[in-house]
Amino acid sequence: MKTSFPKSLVAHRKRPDAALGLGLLLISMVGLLHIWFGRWESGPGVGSWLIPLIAYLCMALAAIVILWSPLAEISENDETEPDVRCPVVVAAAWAILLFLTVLNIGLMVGTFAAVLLATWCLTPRDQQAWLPILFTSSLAAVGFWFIFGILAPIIV
Amino acid sequence: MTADILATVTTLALSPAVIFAVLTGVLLGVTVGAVPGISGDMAMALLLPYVFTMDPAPAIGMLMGVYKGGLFGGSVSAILFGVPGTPGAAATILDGFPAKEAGYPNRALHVALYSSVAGDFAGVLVLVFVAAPLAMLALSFGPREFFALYLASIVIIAGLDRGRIAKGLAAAWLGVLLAMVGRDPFSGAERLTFGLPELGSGLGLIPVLIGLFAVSEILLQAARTWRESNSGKTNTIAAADKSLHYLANDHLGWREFRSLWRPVAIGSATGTFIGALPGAGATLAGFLSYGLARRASKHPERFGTGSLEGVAAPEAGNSATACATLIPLFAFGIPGSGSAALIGAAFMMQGISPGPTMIDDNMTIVYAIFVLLLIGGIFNLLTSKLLLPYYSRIAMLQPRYVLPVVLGLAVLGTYATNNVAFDVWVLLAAGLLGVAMRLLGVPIAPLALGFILGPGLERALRQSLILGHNDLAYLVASPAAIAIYAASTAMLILLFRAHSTRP
Amino acid sequence: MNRVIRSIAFVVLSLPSAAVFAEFPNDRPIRVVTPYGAGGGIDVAARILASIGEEHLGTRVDVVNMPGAGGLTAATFVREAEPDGYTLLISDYTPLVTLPLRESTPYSTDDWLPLVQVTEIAPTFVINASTGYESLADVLQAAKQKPGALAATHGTFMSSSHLPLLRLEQNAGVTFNHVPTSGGGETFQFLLGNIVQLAVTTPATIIGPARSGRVLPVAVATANRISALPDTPTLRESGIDIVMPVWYTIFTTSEVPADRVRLLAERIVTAYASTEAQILAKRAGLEIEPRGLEDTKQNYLQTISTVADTLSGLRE
Repeated sequence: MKTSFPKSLVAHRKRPDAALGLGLLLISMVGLLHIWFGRWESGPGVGSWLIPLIAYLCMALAAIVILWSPLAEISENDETEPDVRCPVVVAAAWAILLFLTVLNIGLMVGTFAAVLLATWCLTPRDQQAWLPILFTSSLAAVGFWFIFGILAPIIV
Repeated sequence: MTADILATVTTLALSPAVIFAVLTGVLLGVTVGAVPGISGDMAMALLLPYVFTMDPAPAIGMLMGVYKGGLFGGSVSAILFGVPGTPGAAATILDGFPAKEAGYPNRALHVALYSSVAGDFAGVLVLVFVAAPLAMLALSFGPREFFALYLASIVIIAGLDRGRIAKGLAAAWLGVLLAMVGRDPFSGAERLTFGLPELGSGLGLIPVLIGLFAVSEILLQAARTWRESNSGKTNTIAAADKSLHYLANDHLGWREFRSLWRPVAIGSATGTFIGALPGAGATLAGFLSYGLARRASKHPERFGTGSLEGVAAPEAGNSATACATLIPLFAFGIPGSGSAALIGAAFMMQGISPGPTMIDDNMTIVYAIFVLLLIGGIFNLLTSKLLLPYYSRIAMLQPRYVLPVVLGLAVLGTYATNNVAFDVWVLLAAGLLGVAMRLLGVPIAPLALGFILGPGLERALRQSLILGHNDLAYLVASPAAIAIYAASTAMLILLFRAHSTRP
Repeated sequence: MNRVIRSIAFVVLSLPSAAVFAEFPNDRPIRVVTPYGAGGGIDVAARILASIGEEHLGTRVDVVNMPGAGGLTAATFVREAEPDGYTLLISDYTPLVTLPLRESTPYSTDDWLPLVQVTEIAPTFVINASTGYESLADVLQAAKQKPGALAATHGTFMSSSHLPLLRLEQNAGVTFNHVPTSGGGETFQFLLGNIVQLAVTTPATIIGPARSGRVLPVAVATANRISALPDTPTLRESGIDIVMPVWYTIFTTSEVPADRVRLLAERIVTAYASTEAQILAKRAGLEIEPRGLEDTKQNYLQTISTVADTLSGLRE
């Protein structure tokens, strides 16, 4: 039941593990430098830098293993997996939009507008019809009003 | 248990509010489980901000109802459409979907239901009889034994997925690091806050858990749906044949189910054991049960073509983990899985700290919860049997309607916990981190568990150093600690071997 | 036309002043801010007031949880709110006394006006009954002989369970090996397992085990013995002059007008003393004994001086 996608939308999976390993290594190095040069307090039980130190060291070790060892997962080059990185960020931006509109304009209005926008964007071109989208958006607005206005009220 | 404790427990557990909560939970769970894209774990995470306003017994009852319901609900979609509604149902597809294709989905669904309930009961029994004695044992533990436990948990969690050990370990220690943000409880100093006062109390448990488990999955689903809608492809499940072809004699007889006792027993036993281990989850239990049942079966060649044994085993297995995963939580305060972590968070919000003293201190509530777990299983059986025909319709709900609503629930629900906008930013950051991890093949559970166990790990280590006057030998100078290290090493080796026999 | 407009304007403009002359507190709800998350003792005390407050105070009472930064967030919020008596803070002494004395905060101890002390909790020193020690004196003697060898637990760093331990060390000239724990459960566990020899905790945590004889409370850091542990001597009785109770008190800021302060204090005391409040408190396991303006202020000032002494003793 998999669908196939045009090549332009497929993520380019050139050794993603290399990027992961390097990224981890970078974080660990920065962290270790921070512990060495930063202001850390010592206190009961050696100091607040103890566990962070252990954590950075273990992460660095893991990063090295990822970069060099065959134990690391061989990436499945899934040709049919679409490139989702951009849409993910857009979806996260939508969530921020929802939050800000609800906070500044109103719970029901914000929910209705945001859900409307999202559902419309997610509907394939050939299936776009206003009625079901308007209906579900209104349903969502009322539902959210009940949950966040009555059951567990939020300060707006 | 004395007679009046029994009486109090029964009145507490059987009060209408509580029963209603469990029933709602089960219905919600199966519904959510049936819809691919939202899982039981996600629903539990989303419910946390509300559950908080309830009393402990209905709160936990509802959450566990959702969890159990979810474990079965995932199978509906697995059998009918070949897509697991929850990760735990992945192994059910192997024989469940072929069963439907061969024309007897009804029998497969009923086998799945009864096996689920059987496994579930096995889990509850083990929890009830094992948790309290284990907790008593844990009461004699000191900081170095706890350090051994926490360390062993983190390593086992990371080491379970054989192909991704290094990634798992990296994720686990990253989780521990994230838990270090905020004030050091020992010295009062601020750590890793980068000058942001909002980080002074650390990253909230709820935004991180909901972000990692729920939001990351939703963001990915939304992204995939968008790509699909833009490329002109329609939603695969909704487009699937809406009529289910039943064979004329597609009914499950009692005799036939009874003949499945062996895979059910294997599944229940495996699931209980795996569920009790930190880090092991329903998915592993499902596959392991499948593999073991196939080896023990008289007709192994039928597996993969629609054998009902191949449906019974993984279903019993994954459902047995439901209550078994609570064992380390109740006994040691260590959540062994994401779901247990969510239950643990719910306990903490109710003012009950999971740990060895939990059962002692809150005996009435804990025993009431045991009763509720049994009730939850019964409700699951009854309601699912009645509503099976309708659940298949639910699985066809369009993601484009479901996803925005669920994401909105996650965002506003998180905000509702403390009315602090920063929590929402943490939620989204955790969600994006989760997406990155899923795309890079890094397992999420170790990070969540590292985050939860981090403070305990640090506390145990530093307390040991204080008590041992900075002598490292003190850490291992206890027989219990050595036993824990030895046992976990042995377990790792065993699991390693078991992996190599997986199909 | 002009006259109509002028008379309307007159009516409209006089409306706000009409509001000023209305009784305090009028239709606006009173907010009680808590510095810790929901579910703790302070939160429960606040919620008790919220549930019965309307009939005693004349307006709705809302609880607002503002956890964060060890109480700093909530305290700063109340400090910066309008000093009109509608925003109150219920807290223990850590955010209001310990914090400003240790770090620089946007407020000092003078900025707070204590209204009503709701309850008082005694820091309790507890030992394991089976270790051979029978009183605090025994423990102190052993500690004197082996400085740093005996271990004692306490809660969060510099919290209201840590400071009494520090004060005891200063006063008696001993040193313990300090083991911070995550709370009552862990403290109790370590004590029972003889991992530590002394624990500083609250009566509620150990009252059960004390009755069954597994632990022995040896001293309380209050002025008088407490009803929950009638056989436990106070530190003063044992020859150690330390009084450091933990109070939960409702505060407002010092700029609020005196008449509103008095009104609030009277009515809150009545509210907490009422039978419904007492029933709710019992159910939640809290002992509520409201104190009026003067007593509360005394306790506040005494705590400030004790904590200041303890902290300066540490710096030497």
